[in-house]
Amino acid sequence: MSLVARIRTAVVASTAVPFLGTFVAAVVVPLVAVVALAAAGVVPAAAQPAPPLDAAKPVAPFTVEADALAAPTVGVPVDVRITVGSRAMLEGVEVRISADPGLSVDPAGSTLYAPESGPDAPAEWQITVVPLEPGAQRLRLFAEALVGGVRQSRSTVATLRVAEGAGDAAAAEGVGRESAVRSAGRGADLRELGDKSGAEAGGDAGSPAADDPDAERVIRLPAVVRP
Amino acid sequence: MTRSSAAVLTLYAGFAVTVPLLVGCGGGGGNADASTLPAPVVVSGAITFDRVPVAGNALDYTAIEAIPARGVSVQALADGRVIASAVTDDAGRYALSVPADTPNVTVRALAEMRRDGTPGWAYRVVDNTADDTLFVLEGPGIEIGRTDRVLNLHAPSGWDGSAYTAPRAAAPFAILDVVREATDFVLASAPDTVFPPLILHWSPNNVPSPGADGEADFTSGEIGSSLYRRGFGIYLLGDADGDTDEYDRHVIAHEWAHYLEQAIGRSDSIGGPHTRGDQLDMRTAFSEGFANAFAAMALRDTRYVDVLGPGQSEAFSFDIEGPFAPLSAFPNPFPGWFSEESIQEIVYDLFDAEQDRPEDTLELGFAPLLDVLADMKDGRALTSIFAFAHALRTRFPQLSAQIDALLAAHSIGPFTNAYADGETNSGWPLAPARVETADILPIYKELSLGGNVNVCSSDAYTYPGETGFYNKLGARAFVRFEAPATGTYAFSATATAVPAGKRADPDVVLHGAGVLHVSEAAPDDAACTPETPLECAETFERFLGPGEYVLEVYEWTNTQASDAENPPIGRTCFDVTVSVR
Repeated sequence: MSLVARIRTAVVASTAVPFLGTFVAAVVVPLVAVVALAAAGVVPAAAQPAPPLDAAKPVAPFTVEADALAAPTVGVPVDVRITVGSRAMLEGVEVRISADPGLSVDPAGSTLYAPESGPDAPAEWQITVVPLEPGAQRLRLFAEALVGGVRQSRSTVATLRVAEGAGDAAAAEGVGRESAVRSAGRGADLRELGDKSGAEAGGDAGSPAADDPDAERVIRLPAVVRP
Repeated sequence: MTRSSAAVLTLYAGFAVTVPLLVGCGGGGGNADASTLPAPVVVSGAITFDRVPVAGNALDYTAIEAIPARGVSVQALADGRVIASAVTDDAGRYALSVPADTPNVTVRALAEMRRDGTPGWAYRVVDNTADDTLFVLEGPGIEIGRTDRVLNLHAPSGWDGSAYTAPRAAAPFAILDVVREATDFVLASAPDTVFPPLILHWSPNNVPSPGADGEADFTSGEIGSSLYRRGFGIYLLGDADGDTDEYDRHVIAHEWAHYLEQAIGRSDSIGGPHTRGDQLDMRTAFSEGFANAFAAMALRDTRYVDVLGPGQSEAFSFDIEGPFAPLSAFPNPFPGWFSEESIQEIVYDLFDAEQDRPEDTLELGFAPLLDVLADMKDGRALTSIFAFAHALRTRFPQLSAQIDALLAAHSIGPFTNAYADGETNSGWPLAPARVETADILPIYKELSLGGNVNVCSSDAYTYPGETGFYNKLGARAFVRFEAPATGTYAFSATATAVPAGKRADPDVVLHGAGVLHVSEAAPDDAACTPETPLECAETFERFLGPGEYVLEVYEWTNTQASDAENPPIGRTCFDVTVSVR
């Protein structure tokens, strides 16, 4: 399946219900109608709403990646490879790392430095992290470097899916970024992340009573009353 | 302040003061005659929010300003029901007429701006990690008696001097403020614009981390980047100490510009990651370059700043007019029609008065650029700098020489039409052995009915693992053809040259002023094998009217962002055919 199809699949799977109705009305219904008519040979094909695209913001011209080199398990140190790559030459490459409370980062690995890196020699380090809690735990990586003499920055987050213990380690998928990092969005971990919304992060999300389907859904942000 | 509704309407001309939907009796005695009811009470005040400005490359929390929340919806609630509503004016002021003697009334400001009619808009800020729930700024419950009340509500940033420790109430309103500024900027050129509804998604949970399988997971907040998603709206990061965008005005305006492209005209951009020096698919290059330029135009500030890092104390930034340093010191490494940086400078130089290079001789303002965006809506060529510039030349033939000179300063052209006939810049392949000039030029290969044309897909214009192959130059080839009459047309793309030991997976997208068909079947496992690479084909049929069409043809693996299982196989060529069934 090509990326276009996978994006479409992801969109349908991840879109919240309230807006799904809008999407169905605005995009799916006319698209299906047009396709059906065109397929039936009734009318020539008309332009459909294009597949969803993700037009992202511009970023600094280098990448920052974190690859767990083993399946993270509570209490078991795991090595994480940090890489800063670039097409252009970089000078003064610095990476600062912070972590969720559920991860302990070796202090020696919380700030990394390389005098330079380039396309043929990316800056690369290996740090050790000890998972303290199971579930989705995040490493925040903030990188700076001189690009053409101008300091530029980039930030990224790597999510580690941490297994409970040795018995769960097999459940944590394989090794490396493809598994340990990407698995963060799945299953219980996904719900755990989602639960951070509202009260903890942005306001009182508990406004709609759980047992009252007619209750209004809003996130209440407390105002300060000013004279 | 007088208590009468009429006076309220006079005082706040332009407000949409709603007559109370529910007149409470205030516990005063049931079926009182209307004439004995006390006059309504006016609750009025201002809605403001903390705007954290950027100083240098950081958010400056010592210079927070209270800014009016303009044009937002305000409601009074009693007993869980809306009893009055209004919209704030440009000073953030509101006035609500509510029944006297109403207990426990709550006034709240919705993270919503809407205006019905012409001009018109409807914007909402919701939390994508909480079922797209709307943010509201809520005041304390108040007892309404028989005298007017003043209630000024302020949305704080939540910053305590060293960290965000309280709800970030200002964020949705800071986002709306930029949207309002961008909207006003467009309305100054096109006062009768009716904008389609737009939902902006923000959450403190929105982090710059890819979701499962490297794809954004909008419900968990793993959105990867702030972005515009066609059909769904704008998503913005809110990751404190990582990457927050609620005060990054250029980021918000940039994403809003992607929405504007769709609202006013058409964008064929395939999106994807992008950074300085990328040689991009021409559609993405145009869309991103335009969005950068729009942010500078709408905000009247050419310095694009995206604050991030611990304490929001660092930034990625560049200047639209000259990226990082004087042009002579750090020129665009790969100028051309595939360069976002070239596009942003061209668009901005068409707009502004400053002449920052000898070829920058035009000062068109924004209205003509907006008109050209609209002109591109029904064009049959894909949206790119060629379609844009050709539409501009068509509108202003007397300026063609100046437009062409500006384009030439960025190694674009000369070309004769929206299909880029005449273009000679084939870019700077980073792996020259994996591409030939004829793979890139002409940009659109011509195909006649019943004939065939050979095109090639390459992975030669980026480094593995950088920002992916998905949207890079050369990955997708373009073919144009003309359907002479209404009928069913059959299309095929069959491999003719495949790297040794590889198996091609051709895919085809049919365009006709928008996407008409996406043909992306996996190759036939029986026929298409590494031993029989030339048996790999993509075929489909489509019922079409007469007119010009474009086929986008590519080797699927050459368009993957980062797929260890299906890495790019490199230069792969296909014979493309079209015939009447």
